[in-house]
Formats: sequence, structure tokens, C-alpha cells
Amino acid sequence: MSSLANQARPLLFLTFRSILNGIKRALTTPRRLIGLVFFLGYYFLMFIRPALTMPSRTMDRMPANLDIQFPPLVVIDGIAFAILATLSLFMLAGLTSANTGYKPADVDVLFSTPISPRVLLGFRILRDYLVTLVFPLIIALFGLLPAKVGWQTLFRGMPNPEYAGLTLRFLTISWALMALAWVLLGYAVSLFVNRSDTASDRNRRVFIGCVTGAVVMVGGYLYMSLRGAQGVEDWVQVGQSPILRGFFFMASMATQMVLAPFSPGGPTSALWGAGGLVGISVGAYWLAITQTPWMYDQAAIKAYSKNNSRQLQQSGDLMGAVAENIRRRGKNKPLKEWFVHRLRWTGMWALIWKEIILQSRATIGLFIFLLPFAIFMGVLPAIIPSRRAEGPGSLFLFMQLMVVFMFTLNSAMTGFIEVLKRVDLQRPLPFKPSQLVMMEVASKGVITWIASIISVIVAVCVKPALWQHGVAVLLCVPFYSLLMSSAVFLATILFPDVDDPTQRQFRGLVTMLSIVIFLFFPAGAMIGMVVLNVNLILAGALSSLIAFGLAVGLAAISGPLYANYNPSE
Amino acid sequence: MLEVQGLVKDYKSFRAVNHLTFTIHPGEIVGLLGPNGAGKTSALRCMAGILKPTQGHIRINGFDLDSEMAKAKAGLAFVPELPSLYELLTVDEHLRFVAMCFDRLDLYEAKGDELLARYHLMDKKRELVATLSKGMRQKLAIACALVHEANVMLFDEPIIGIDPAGVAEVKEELKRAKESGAAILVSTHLLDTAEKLCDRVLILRKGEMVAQGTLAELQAQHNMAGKSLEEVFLELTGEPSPAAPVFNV
Repeated sequence: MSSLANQARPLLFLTFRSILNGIKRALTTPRRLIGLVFFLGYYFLMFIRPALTMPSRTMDRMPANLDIQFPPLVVIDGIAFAILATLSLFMLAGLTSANTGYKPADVDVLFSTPISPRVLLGFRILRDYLVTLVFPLIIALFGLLPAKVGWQTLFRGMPNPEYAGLTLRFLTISWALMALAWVLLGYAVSLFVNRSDTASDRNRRVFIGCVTGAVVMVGGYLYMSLRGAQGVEDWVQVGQSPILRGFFFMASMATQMVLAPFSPGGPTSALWGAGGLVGISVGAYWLAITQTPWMYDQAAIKAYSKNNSRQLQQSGDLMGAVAENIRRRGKNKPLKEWFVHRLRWTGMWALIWKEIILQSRATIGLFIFLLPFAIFMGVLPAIIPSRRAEGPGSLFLFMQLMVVFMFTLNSAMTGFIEVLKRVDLQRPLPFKPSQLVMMEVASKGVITWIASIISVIVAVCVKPALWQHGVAVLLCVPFYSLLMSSAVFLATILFPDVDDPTQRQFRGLVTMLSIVIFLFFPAGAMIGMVVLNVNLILAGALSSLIAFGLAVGLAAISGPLYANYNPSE
Repeated sequence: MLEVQGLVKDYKSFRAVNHLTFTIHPGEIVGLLGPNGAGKTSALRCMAGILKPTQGHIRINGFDLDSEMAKAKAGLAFVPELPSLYELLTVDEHLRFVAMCFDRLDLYEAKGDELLARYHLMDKKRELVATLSKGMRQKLAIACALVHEANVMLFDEPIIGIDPAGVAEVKEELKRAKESGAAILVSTHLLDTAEKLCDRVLILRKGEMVAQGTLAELQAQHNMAGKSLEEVFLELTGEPSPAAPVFNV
């Protein structure tokens, strides 16, 4: 197993076959295909099409002679530096996590084979480098043509306007070199600070502390410098600051290359810049190679801890992610019991009991975070001056609907993935599938109900005239929440693949759409009755009835789907 | 032959494996026993070249795993507990990939199908690993371990999750490998299996080896004549004896 080609061949085979099989699977599974088509269509219509049709409009708006008050060279230098420094900031953020992308399968299958860690490191560096090169292209895709027009405009005042294209080419080459240096530096640093020995803990703290300190100081400097900036000249001057140039030293080196066609000592300074980046790359590669004996070790440890947690979060299994984090931190002390533990709810109510306990553990942080917003949304209509005694009641009702929407969506969209994952535990329980679904759906509204009660009480305390609206809201909340949860559950069971990113995105779209459609009926009825001056409490009750009926209908549809759901499909 | 000398594995300040020393000779099956958290999996992963030992040396077929990694791993097969496999490869591609890693495509071409048939995976040959059940994944992992004809084999709970026919096949496979001269280390919680299958056992507790030898040797060393491996194990690891049954069946 000596030749490099022999060692690289299986890695290429793995990458190529995985991509090919992934595409095949996406195209041959109807559910995945629908998701993929909608996902691509959505992004095409939202981003790509507008970007493609933008240039003509942008061209029309562009002034014929852009009046630049300072040497264009400085502006070009500033813009190139700003682009490269921004990209550098992105790269800096991921500097300690470059080597964490291994999958558990790499650990279990690949690491015990004779493939050299150095070959694997080289392969991953190359792969990450190619992905990194493409990264700014994705950003540029949305504004590539208008940006090009703007770039060419800058060169109108230059002796050689045709150099615009040449400079762009130099910018691309400098980015290619800078990206290589960042990727290699990322591997060197992450391998060095993530080792499983005690010394690397200290190294990691020192490194993160130094970088954070430097970023904060540079951020502070930027804030102070730009606070009194009057125009573009001031921005350009700040861009020339030695502090910024020193902090973003790689971006500075790359910028020297971009200006090679113009600046007096252009080629020499470009060579210095390129030489500096190549030097950093070589040094970083050497450091990374010296750390390869630790590569498998840290990848194995991280693959099983962080990957689990990240995958659970990505798949929307919030409860699973919380449990994984508790397990990782080793907090296995007995948890305190509270009054809910003493409740003796049996039968289907046991599902609600379970959900209250789970939600209290999984979403308490989110609840505390969102509660002030809910209170603010309740109080806002109460403090807005209004000619009517009860204040802007319609705004109050709308805001409360938003509170219900915010809380229900949060608990339902994350909690239902957990329901799907524990299907084998739930299905043998002695309930009909539709009953199971109904209770799961209802239990997701408990947190919403609590938040709404608090929000309404505070609002009514601030403006007692809103009491009728408050009662109507409290009547509606459980049923509106039930209806929203039912719609989310139906979307989840129709598109249940948590590992497929396109299906996840598509599910999100379908969820929003179905909530809007189903909510239209009770909310529309409520609006109609308010307009017709029907008593608010009666209107709330009738609207709730509609919401409840729809929720039961959705549960009846979802029940059989849940009964036949197979997680391994 | 597998030689482990003074193996220590620390995770930061936690010592998972503490000065483990033993040798497994060709044609020998050794059981690695211990309660949960005893350090079995960490020790096995060090021997498989996945984790870097904090101290100590591991030699596989005479090659040092640290300094002659490629040569040492060329003769090694490792089957992890509940293995994670590449979900987007087909069963056949997975087997082929492992053979490619060991530069033994010739063996894959010669016996790939036979291995898949032996583990009842032929009808799944062209299906993605993602579609396999837990037991089938375990079988595929074992087939992958066998495809390159390793002579040092490390198994971490190899029969967990496999159906009875599969269990019998795995046991037969281990015996066949033993007869062909492989040195085999099997980590297991199934003491009756270990008693029947293994030539001798190593017992770990909190990272340290508390005993090693054949059942007869363990009985003699610890004055437990006539006791089963389970009784000896519980005594040596300080595990509580089986509690009284909760249900009367």
C-alpha cells in the first residue's frame, strides 16, 4: 500500500460513489424528488432569477460618469482589501473546527485501514480547498453581474480601463492563494488545539482568547474610526490603516497581488504578496503534518460527540440534541421533581404529562428567551394611544395570534421530529393512531398556552379595558395552537426524512403554507364576526370551534399515516 | 500475532485504559470482558489504530502500529460495536471500498459474492447501506472485516443485534479464522459465549486488567473451583450478584 495513487483511489471512489448515489436517490424517490424540485424552484425564483434580471436595471441606473474625488487606485485597493478581509473573517471563524467534519463511518471503517493519515489529510485539504474556492462564487452569484458593472465603472478614470478584467483575474488568483493558506492554517490550528491531551486544552484557550481579543480590539478600532466618517474618503482612509492591514495580513498580501497591473512596483509587490501566502501555506502544511498522529484520535472523539449533537440539531430533533448535550457534559445527577411529577394522569393524559416534562427540560431556555417578546407583543397595543376605550383591540388580537404562532411553531417543528423518532415506543401504546396524534399535537400547545396567559394578563393589567379581548384570546389559544400543531404534524409525517436537507427545507415551506391555509378559516371567521360587531367572547368561542373541528380532521388524516410510518424507509 | 505492552489511554484527565499488557498468538481466540465503562472499547480502538495511545506499544504481526502503521494495519480487521457505515454506498460498493483500502481488490473479486451470500446479503447487494437493518449492518461490517483476509481480528460485541442464524455464522467464522491461524480478540458481555468460544479471557475493571487466563486458570488463581465464568467475572469485577426477580412468571 505504498503508492499515493493506490491510497487515494479508495477515497476518490468513496466520494464519487456517495455523490452519485445521493443524486440517484434524490431523483428516484418521489418524496425526495418533489422536495428537491420545490427547493430548487424556490431558490431559483427567490434569488437566481432576480439576480439574472437585475443587470439591465442596474446598468440603467448607473451614472455615465461617476465622479470620483480621489485616486481610483486607492478605491480599488480598498474594495479588494474589503472583499478579501471579509472572506478572511469567515475563514477565521472556522479556524479551530477544520478537522471536525469526520463522520462516524470514517472512524469505524476508514481509520482502521492502512490508508495513511497524511494521505487522508491531503485529500481532505484538497476537498475543503475546492469547496472554499467556490464559496465566494455562491455569494457572488446573487449579484455577480451588477458587481461587475460597478467594478468596471471604477476603472473609467484610469489610463487603462481594460485592466478591469485583468484586475478581476488577479483578484481571483489572490483569493485562490489566500484560500489555500486559510484552509491549511485551519487544519494546522484545529489539529494542534483539539488533541486529547491536557496541554491542548490550554493551547485552545490561549488561541481562542488571543483571536477573540484581537477581533474585539480591531472591531473597537473600526467603530471608533468610522463613527465620525463623513463619506467614502473616510472609509477608504480607514481601509489603509496599518492596524487593519496588520490584523488581516493575509488579505493585505492578497491585495498587493490585485494591484499588480497598476501600482508602480506592482510585480515586485505582487511577488512579495504571493510569496508570503505561499510561505504561510507551507508552514501551515508542515505544522498540520506534524500533528497527523493525533488526527484519527481527535476525529474519533469528536465524530461521536459533536457530530451526534449537530446532526440532531440539523435534523430538528431538539429534544435529542438537549439529551446529547447533557450526556456530553456528563451531567448525570438525578433531576429534581416538581409538582407535575406528582400528578396521577392516566390513559391518554399520560402523553400530555410526558410532554410537559420533556418540554420543560428541552425548551425552557427558549421559553425564557421568547417570553419577554410575548409580553412585549401583548403590552404594545395596550400602550399605544387610541381614541377607543379598549385601545387598538384588533392589533392586540393580531399580536396574540403572532405569539401563538411563534411558540407553537417552535415547539411543534422541533418536537414532532422526536415523535417520529420514538415511533416504535409510542405505537404499541393502547390508543388509536388518531388519538395518539391528537394528544401529541395538543401537548405541544401547553407552552404556548402558558406564554399567552402571561402575555394577556400583563396586557390586561396595563389596560383593563382589553379584558374582553383577553378572554377571547384565552378561549382561542388552545384551539388555534392545536390547529397549527396539527398542520405542522401533517407536514412532518408527509415529509419525514430528517436526514435529507432538501426535504427539510421543503417541509418548512409546506408547514408555513398549511398553517396559513388552515388558519384562514377560524381567523377569517373571527375577523368577520369582529367586523359585524358580534360579542368578542362569542366570536372567540365560535372561532375556536372551527379551529378544533379542523384540528380533529387533520389528526384523522395524520393518524393512519403515523400508524404506517416506518422510520427505516 | 497481537502484542500489547503497557497500553495507557487518557482522555484529558480521565484514564480509560491503565497499563494493559497481553499477547494473542496465531490461532487463538481471546475474550475481552469487563463491565460497562471498563475501557474495552477504548483499548480496542487503540489496537485498531483509531485512538492514539497515551503510553505503550502495540505490535501487529511484528510491526509497530505507531511507526509502521501501514504494514501493521495491512493484517488487521476491526469490527466496531454497532458499526457506522457509509450510508450512501451500496452493500457491494462498501465491500469493494474496504478491499480497495487494503489494496486487495483481487480478494474482493474472488470472494466478495461468497461473503455476501454467507451473510444473506446477496439480495441487498445493489441496495444502499442506508436501507439496511441494524442486524444487516452488523453482518456487512463483519463481511468487510473478512474480505481482506486479516490475521489479527478485533471484534467489539460482534453478535449484538444479529439473528440466531447470523450469530451461529459469526461463531463459525471466528472458528474458521482461528483454524486458519488468525489471532482474534473479542470484546463481549455475553459470558456464556465467551466461555464456549474463547481459549482464554482478559478481564478489565476501571481500565485495569484484573485477571487473564483460561477458565481453569482463573478458577485456580482465585480459589473458585467449579464456578462458572459468570461467577468468576462477577467476583473479580465487584459487580453485584443478580437481584431477586421482580416478576413471577
